[in-house]
Amino acid sequence: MLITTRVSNANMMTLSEKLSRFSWVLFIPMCVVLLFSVVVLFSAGGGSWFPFAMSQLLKILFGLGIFFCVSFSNIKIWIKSAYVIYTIALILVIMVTFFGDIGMGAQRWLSLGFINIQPSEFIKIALVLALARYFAWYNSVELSQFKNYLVPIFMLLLPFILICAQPDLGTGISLGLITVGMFYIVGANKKWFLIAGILGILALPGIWYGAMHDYQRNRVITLFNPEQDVRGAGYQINQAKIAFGSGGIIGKGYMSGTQSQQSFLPEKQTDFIFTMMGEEFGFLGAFMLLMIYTFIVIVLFWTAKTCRNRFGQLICFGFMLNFFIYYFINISMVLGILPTVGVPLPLMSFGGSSLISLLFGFGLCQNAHIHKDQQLSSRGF
Amino acid sequence: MIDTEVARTFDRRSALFLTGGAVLTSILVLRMLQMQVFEYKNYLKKSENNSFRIQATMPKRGSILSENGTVISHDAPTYRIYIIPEETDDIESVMNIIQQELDLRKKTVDRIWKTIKKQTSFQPVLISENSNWDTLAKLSAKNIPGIHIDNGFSRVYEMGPAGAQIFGYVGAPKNPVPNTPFFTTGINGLEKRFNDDMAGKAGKTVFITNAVGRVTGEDKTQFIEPVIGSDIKTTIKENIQKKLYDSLVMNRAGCGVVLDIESGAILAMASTPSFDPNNFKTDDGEEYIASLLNDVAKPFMNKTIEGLYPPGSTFKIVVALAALESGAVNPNEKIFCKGYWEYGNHKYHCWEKHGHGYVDLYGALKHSCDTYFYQIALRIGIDAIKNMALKLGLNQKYMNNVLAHEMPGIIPDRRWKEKNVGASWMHGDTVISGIGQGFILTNCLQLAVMMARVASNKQVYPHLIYTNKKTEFKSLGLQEKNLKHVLTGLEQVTQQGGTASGSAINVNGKKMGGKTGTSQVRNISEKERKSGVLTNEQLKWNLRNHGLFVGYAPTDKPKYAVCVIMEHAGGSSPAAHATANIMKELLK
Repeated sequence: MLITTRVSNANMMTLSEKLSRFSWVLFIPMCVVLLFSVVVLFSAGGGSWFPFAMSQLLKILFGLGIFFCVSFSNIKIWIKSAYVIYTIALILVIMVTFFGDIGMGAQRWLSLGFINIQPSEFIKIALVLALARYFAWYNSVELSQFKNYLVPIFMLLLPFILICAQPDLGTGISLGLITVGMFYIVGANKKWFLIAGILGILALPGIWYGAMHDYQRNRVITLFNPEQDVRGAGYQINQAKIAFGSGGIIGKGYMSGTQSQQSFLPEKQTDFIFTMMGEEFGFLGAFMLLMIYTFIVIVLFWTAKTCRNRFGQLICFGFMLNFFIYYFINISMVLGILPTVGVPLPLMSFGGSSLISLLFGFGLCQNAHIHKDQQLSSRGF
Repeated sequence: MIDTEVARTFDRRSALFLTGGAVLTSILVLRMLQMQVFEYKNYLKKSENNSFRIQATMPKRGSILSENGTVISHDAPTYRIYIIPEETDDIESVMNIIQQELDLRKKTVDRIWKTIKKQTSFQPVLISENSNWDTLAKLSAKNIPGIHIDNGFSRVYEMGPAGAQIFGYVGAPKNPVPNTPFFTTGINGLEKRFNDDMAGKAGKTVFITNAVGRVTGEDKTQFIEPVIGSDIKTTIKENIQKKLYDSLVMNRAGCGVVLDIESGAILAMASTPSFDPNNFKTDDGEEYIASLLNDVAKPFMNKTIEGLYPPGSTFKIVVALAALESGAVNPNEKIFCKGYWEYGNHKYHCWEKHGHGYVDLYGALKHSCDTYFYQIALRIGIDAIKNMALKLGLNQKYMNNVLAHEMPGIIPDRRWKEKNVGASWMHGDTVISGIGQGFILTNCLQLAVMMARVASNKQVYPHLIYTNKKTEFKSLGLQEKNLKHVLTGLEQVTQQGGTASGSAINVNGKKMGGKTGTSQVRNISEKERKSGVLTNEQLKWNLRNHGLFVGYAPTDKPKYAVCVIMEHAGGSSPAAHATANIMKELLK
């Protein structure tokens, strides 16, 4: 291989060499969304840098610092520390389950004195990293054997059960979908999915009556009949739909959304930021953002496909899944397609945990792209 | 390098993800199109309802004015004290302070508590609407959180009960519009009839509200200034109206009308018993209204046009004029009255059972001799009487476009009786019509018009709403000499020996003429007459005769015509006396 002979060892790559391999096509749309988030949060603050825009800008700068560090670091660091990172994230999830404070949504906070963190955001990236690390060195024969999936199933179930018990259904479902997606792409037997699907459907009544909370059931009922209780469970989603729909094609204008500006719209700066955007910038604005997201997903897929080592490929693919699930669940939820579950809009919603874990993820993908021509071994470095 | 089999799996299986991603993204785009393009208008409407609260601002309502421009009913600026429970630290203690400071009664406090519990805590609760400056100053000095003072308007009825049925009053509309807290509409009388003119146009204040309905600001671009209502000027003379009412309340029930003969202006119009609309707004308002509704004497009825009475002897003016105009009677012709007149096999009694002896037309009017009028009525016939009655303005509606429920009354003839009673007209019917009994029914306003027409020989037409136009009434076309004969008789009524001799007036030489009337509310049987007719004092109140008087003054150049009816007063002297008092006031 021509390229591999040019750069044979990751340890020897210079910074300028890494810079030349930096994926601008992945970096620029990401920055556009980040910039957009500051603009929208400025409006959410009623035309002020406070309380949201300035705070988020600082978090973005901090997150970009992490992004660049991760991007230009040696990829082998991440192979080595994948399980460590997963374990730390898992410990945080355990801690938050038992010591966390419950916020407005279902997600729990872990208060570290000066900052609050949401471990459920970090576990999504950590799981992708751990699964990529796990599957990267299996051959096709090994990947067709069910026993090799037992460990990843445990890697999913440990945080999954804890998070669903928090109860944070949104993150739980995200984790499940990421894992299923990863299993499928690495080559798991299609029959297993069929069996799992049938078991899942059989378990539905049990989950509905046994495992779900009243308010979760209400949210599902509300989805199908939102007019039923416009002041109670349906209030939030009803107001969100009014805000989004009343934006029309061109929107009510920047900082002129009547729903958002007069606090009809709860959580407008976090989970419901897409409706605020839709109200102020209309279909054109909302569609443009969706297209940028779609572009990012396509770039991530292409990065995965062109990656010539399995670890980088699976990182990019897993993160792509995570990113898509993130915004799909969020947008479907605020448009009333899916029940209300606490999932933020990636790169847009106010809040540090989601932003930093995402920028960490983007950093890993950049790193994978920079090292896409490296041959990696799980042990020999 | 990646295992080729593994790489192939990746390529093959990623197609499913790409397809899935494309489908899911399309769903989002379609949903966005549906909401923001196709159902846009629906959502926009909802969002507008969400964020604005439209508050109508009440304009100052027009006033009802008297003939010289003084106010009868008007909107007075008022200071409303209200409380916003949410803003208080402790509603109980705040209520205690208010109760003491404003000296509120238990009833008021109960109402306030009821409202507080019913409403959400940020909605205002009215404590007092008519507060004076002293209490306001005391309250604001206390600086109690949650207490607000706001200015608005409150209707004040300066005349109180005097003519309340005519001027009407205002109240909350039957179908109140939301967000119009202190809105009123005319309920009856002139307030109702001219509501559209007087109400003005409500202004609009658009408040911006947040999700829980709390006002966060005002949208100044949508503000509309209220338009003040226009005034309604009446022909009522304040002092005469008061005099008329004060004279009427001496009796249990009754009514009266004062006309300006030249212009037809109604200078006063009152009905008793009456009510004071100022009391409606008080804490006892409901009980007050209930007691009025239970009153058999019907306080809400405008008896001047809604009440129908047999005109009694006042109708003799019609009969006398009809007789003179027909030429069948000479005013000097004397007829003998022995206390009754026998016709056919029926005895028609005169009110003076000892008889008047020989009476001519003047004497018959002066003494109100029934025997005389029985005979001349029969001589000229019912048709001549009816023609004259109509000519003098009876059986006619005058207030069609101004006051409701006006009753035209009855002036009977052959056809009327056949149609309504189903029997043919008898001579006896004509005979008793001669003294204004039988089927004849008139209202107070009609009798005043009759008096005005006789005194002026003009087609006087009454009006209540002031106009700048000088009205020149057409002549009635009656012979002046015949009118002179009748007026001569009417002048003698108030003189020595006349039926209203006690009510003679002399204001700088100006005198009053007129005609008394009593109308029977029951039939006196033959047996009763023999055993001696009960005097009115011996009868139950509601079986006593109505007392009537129609008068005009001054006699040399008639300017005012008055009709006063005192229900069940027994005789006509209270009515004559009241008329004399009003005339004195008018001629002063």
